[in-house]
Amino acid sequence: MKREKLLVANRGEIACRIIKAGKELGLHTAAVYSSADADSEHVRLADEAHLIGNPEPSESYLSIPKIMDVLKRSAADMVHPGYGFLSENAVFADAVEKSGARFVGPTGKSMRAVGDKLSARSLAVSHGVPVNPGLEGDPSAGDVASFIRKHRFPIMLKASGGGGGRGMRIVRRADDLDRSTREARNEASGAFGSSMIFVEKYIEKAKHVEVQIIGDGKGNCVVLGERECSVQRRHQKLIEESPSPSISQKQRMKLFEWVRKLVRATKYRSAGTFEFILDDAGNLFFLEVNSRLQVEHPVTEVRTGIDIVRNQLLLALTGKLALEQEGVSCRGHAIEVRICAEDAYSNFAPAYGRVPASLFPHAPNVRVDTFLDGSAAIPVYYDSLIAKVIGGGATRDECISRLLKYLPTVIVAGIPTTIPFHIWALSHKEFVSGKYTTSFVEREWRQEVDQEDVRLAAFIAAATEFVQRERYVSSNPTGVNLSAWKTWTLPSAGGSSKK
Amino acid sequence: MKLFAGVSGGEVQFDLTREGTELAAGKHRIRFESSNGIIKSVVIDGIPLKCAVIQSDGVYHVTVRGTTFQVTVDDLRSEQIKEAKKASAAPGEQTIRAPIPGIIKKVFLKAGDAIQKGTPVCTLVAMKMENEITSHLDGVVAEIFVAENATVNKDNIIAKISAK
Repeated sequence: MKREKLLVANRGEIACRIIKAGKELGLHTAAVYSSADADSEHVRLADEAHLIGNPEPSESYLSIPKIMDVLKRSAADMVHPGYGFLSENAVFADAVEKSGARFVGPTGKSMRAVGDKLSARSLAVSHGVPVNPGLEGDPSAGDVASFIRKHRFPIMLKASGGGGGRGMRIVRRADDLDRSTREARNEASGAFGSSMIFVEKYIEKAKHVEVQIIGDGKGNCVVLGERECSVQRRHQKLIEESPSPSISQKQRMKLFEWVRKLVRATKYRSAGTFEFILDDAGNLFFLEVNSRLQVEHPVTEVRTGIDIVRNQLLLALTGKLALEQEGVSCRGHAIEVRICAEDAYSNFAPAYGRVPASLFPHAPNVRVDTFLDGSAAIPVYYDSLIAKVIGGGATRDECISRLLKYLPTVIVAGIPTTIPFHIWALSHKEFVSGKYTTSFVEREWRQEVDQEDVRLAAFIAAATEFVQRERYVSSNPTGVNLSAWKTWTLPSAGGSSKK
Repeated sequence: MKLFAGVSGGEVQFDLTREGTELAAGKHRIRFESSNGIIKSVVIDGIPLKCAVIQSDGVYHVTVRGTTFQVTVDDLRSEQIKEAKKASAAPGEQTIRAPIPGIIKKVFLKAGDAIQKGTPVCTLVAMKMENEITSHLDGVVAEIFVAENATVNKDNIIAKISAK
């Protein structure tokens, strides 16, 4: 049999993860990269790599012509889009399949049916799956005003074609409506090429529960359990776990039944996630479909032992699912924390530059997905995710204590990360109780630095300075004027981050 | 040797002396075991741990127990340093600074424009999110320091504003 070639149209940790799955299956792997990623781990991992342009996503990872050009030149047999970028772009999926290659994901047609938040809503409604009150069809200012009169603030503005928190704004006061609408529309048109938005009632005490499936494209699917992802900032997830500590077995079965209906209706192919909101009265509302592999898919992999990407690739290779529902057993618990290049003590402000050194120690039942190979550049152009740490265990408490022991041993040098936030969150009684909601971070995170850590850092820095001065003295036998120390500028160490 | 470490808005004082392979400060002890470049194994008060130390522009970036701190070390107290700086600084114009690092997508103002609190100044894209930066000042734009598509760091000056 001819050795098939897999083109991975993404970057960062997910590109690395997909390339590794491809290599396991004996595929020849091809990577694409922008000029900002020339030295990135996914470029080194792949059997071949193609430069596609300038760092701006629109000129590289988001450019359909550039990726299609590489597809043609590399003569790849299939394309995995990862998440983000072109992963939910139906035009891209169609273009890939029209060229004769296979798209590792849903067809453009079912992507259109579920990928647009609005059409997904009407699909749910027509199959008896409950949805949150909303206003569809790019409503006018007048429509929005009357929706607000009926349902009151807060409301949520959402980009119709969106995802990942972009093009989304919560509006709590009439004063903010115009500005938030502008921001949401601009963000939506920049990110998704359409400024269409819709309006929903915003549920304050919400939990976010989602169901992972892999469909065969003929209406059948295997359900791989659910995940709860209610620890979020700016509508982007920070911690995900499975099983959800918030739903009963009865609710779980209901969710799976709804999802099977929607998969059957759309003939959904490949990995997908059906997202739901759980309100504080225990009602579940369908939210949207993520018609792609998701960031948090390892949570499910750790719990089921099933490699989702491998199964996506096998489906693309053979046209058949390589697993059956009877073979799926969810065991124990799994929790993932997202380590992002963000300053958790400064409103999660993004950081970028160079990580000159990092360390993720090996530990039992801890999985690390990252593109940091010791050092790495963190370009400003892309999202801030640098690593995912997934702890597995027999129980939820075991996972929590495992991660709490593990995270302080991780080193990502030179830049602030979300690690201290995770240590705080996993120790917080609200998280530990499992009763946390999507407003947990906003309500509870006080950005307080651990004073013992402060003292440790100060001690280490002072001791390093002391040792350097000792060395300076011993290397200057001519005699040194001690009082001159205070005016010295010490030489900066090599490889440090840009200022 | 007396050293003052400035970190997280506070200051910690150490009176360090060498005791063989260890450094002592009061009742605390530290020993550098091995250094793999940036990542170092240290033993503090008998407890081994790994940390990272990077020195850049006179600032130590110390990563310990999952958190990266910026620490300045000096043999003067920070108040003394501040006073010395204050004496040499001239009263400046009011500025609008970048609240986060990112890329300037659009600039709405030019020199000479009159603005008020809340006037949009520019849009700043960071990690895919678009943020509208608005003025917190009333006045007239004296100078714009950023162009569209420019990369800015946190606290870079976007515009100088003079009073009307």
